[in-house]
Amino acid sequence: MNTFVKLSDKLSDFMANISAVILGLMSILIIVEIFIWNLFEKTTLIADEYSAYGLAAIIFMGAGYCLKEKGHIRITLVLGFLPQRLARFITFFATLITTVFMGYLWWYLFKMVGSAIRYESTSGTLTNTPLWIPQTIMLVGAGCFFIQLFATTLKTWQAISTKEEVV
Amino acid sequence: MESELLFMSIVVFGVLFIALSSGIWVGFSLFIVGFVGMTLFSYLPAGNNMASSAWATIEKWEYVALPLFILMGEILYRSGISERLFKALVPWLYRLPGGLLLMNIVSCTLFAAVSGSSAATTATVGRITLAEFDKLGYDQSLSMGSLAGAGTLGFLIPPSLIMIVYAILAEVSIGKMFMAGVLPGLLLAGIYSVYIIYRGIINPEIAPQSQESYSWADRLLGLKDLAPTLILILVVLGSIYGGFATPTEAAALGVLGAFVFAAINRQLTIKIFFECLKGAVKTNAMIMLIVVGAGFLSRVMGFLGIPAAITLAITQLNLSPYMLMILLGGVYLVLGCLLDGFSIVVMTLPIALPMVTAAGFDPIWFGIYLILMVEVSQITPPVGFNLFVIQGLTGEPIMKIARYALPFFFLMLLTTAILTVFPQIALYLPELMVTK
Repeated sequence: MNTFVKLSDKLSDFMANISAVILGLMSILIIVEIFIWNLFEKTTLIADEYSAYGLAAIIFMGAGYCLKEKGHIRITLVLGFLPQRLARFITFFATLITTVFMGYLWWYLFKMVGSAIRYESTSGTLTNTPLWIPQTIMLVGAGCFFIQLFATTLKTWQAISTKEEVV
Repeated sequence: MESELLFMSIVVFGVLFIALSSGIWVGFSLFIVGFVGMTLFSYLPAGNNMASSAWATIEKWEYVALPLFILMGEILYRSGISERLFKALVPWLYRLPGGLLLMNIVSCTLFAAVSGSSAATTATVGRITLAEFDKLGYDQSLSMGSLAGAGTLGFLIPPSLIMIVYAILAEVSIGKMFMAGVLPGLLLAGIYSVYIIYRGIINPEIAPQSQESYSWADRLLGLKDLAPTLILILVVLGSIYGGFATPTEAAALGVLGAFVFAAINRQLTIKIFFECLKGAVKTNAMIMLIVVGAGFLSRVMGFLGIPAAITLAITQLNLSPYMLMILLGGVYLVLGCLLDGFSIVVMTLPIALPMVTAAGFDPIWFGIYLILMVEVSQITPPVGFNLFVIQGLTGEPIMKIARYALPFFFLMLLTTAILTVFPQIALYLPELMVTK
């Protein structure tokens, strides 16, 4: 169980590193667009569209890392009033429900990408980018987020006896 | 029909309450409530709708400004530019009544103009000022209270992450929203300053005079340390106000500017820059998860007709516009004690905005009103993010810091009242500006 948790933490870190690179590239792309447009009245044609794809990619790719670092917001006010053991049980069930729900969402994201491939959907912009490409990157990120959520569920289960603060 | 809507509303808000209080992450709570609402009360396939709503929300060019402004703040935070800002301001402020306590206000105002978040503003300024005030023997309640209050300017003074989210959801111009925050932000900072000076005059003990003295040469030399911040404010806000850049482009220029200044300061290694990028990825994921969940819930609620029904019910009460804002203010104060700013904005907007615009208020003005309410929520216990940040810096209990922040809580309410009576304070600059 612990090996899985460690691997999943590493995976989330890796995805966050890739997201960091993507964010850097997004910044460069927009800056290049601003300069070539203002200096030479030329355009990259892709700055708006591709930086938006970049955003779509880094949200789910970074979400697992954010979860690992306890960055996502949750309300612990009510749990704070309950006996600690009961609060830890509820936290475990809340994490389990979230994980199942993320799995369900992932399945429908997967089906959406399938439809984009089947119907050859494109962005409808000048680049006519096939939508399955950015959507697949998002799907991979969402998959890794699901894995991190699953690992977090295991952590919250263990925390019932170890009394650790894991989320 | 009405009883059916009432039943739907009770189920939706009941599930939301249970999900949030059981500790399910806010973004997922919103998703789950939307899923339950759509599955129980419509024939639409919830799964497909969820996936398409998620994609439609995250693939938006306007939201790209969000991670870029976060990145700019991260670079400034880690590059020592804020510390230099503090040193540059000391010679200008040390002789005033209230002395360096005004530093909290002035530094937060300036830093808020390059940072999009209240927590970041509070942490950056507090990290420098609190230790200094402690050394000088300043009154603890005012030093922490003024920091808690002034830190909230991060959301009101542009660029502001919450304003970006509000503007996209309310379908108003981000640039105009930014400009609408400038004068109310300065008004609030001014009111805080007057209060501190007043306290300093009636009781000079709260801020003992420093033994050091500074010459005009010190003051003028310090300006070079102020320059990076001022230039960044000019580049980011000036380019938006002048219509030269969209907020996303201005954010990218801000990142470039912060990068250049940090490099000039020799504070930016590749490792630190990568940490900045990773920090921005993390904060962006935190905010966007809530936004994506809210996007779906808002779609479901609109489909079920809940916002329209609530708007109609409130309209039938025939409340005066001021009464409506007081009522809403009360609701936001309660929510502010329990939720964070982003959650408050995204969860209440689908219901509150139609109601408020039907009563004749401008959506940009309402954005500023809402952000002031969000600022109040940052310093109201038990859930107040600025209180958490100051607790992290000082180790003092939350309730004690909240008590220190109480005068500033009332000053915020005063500002909100002034803004409600004189909406032009928010609307004057946006009406003048050119947008790209």
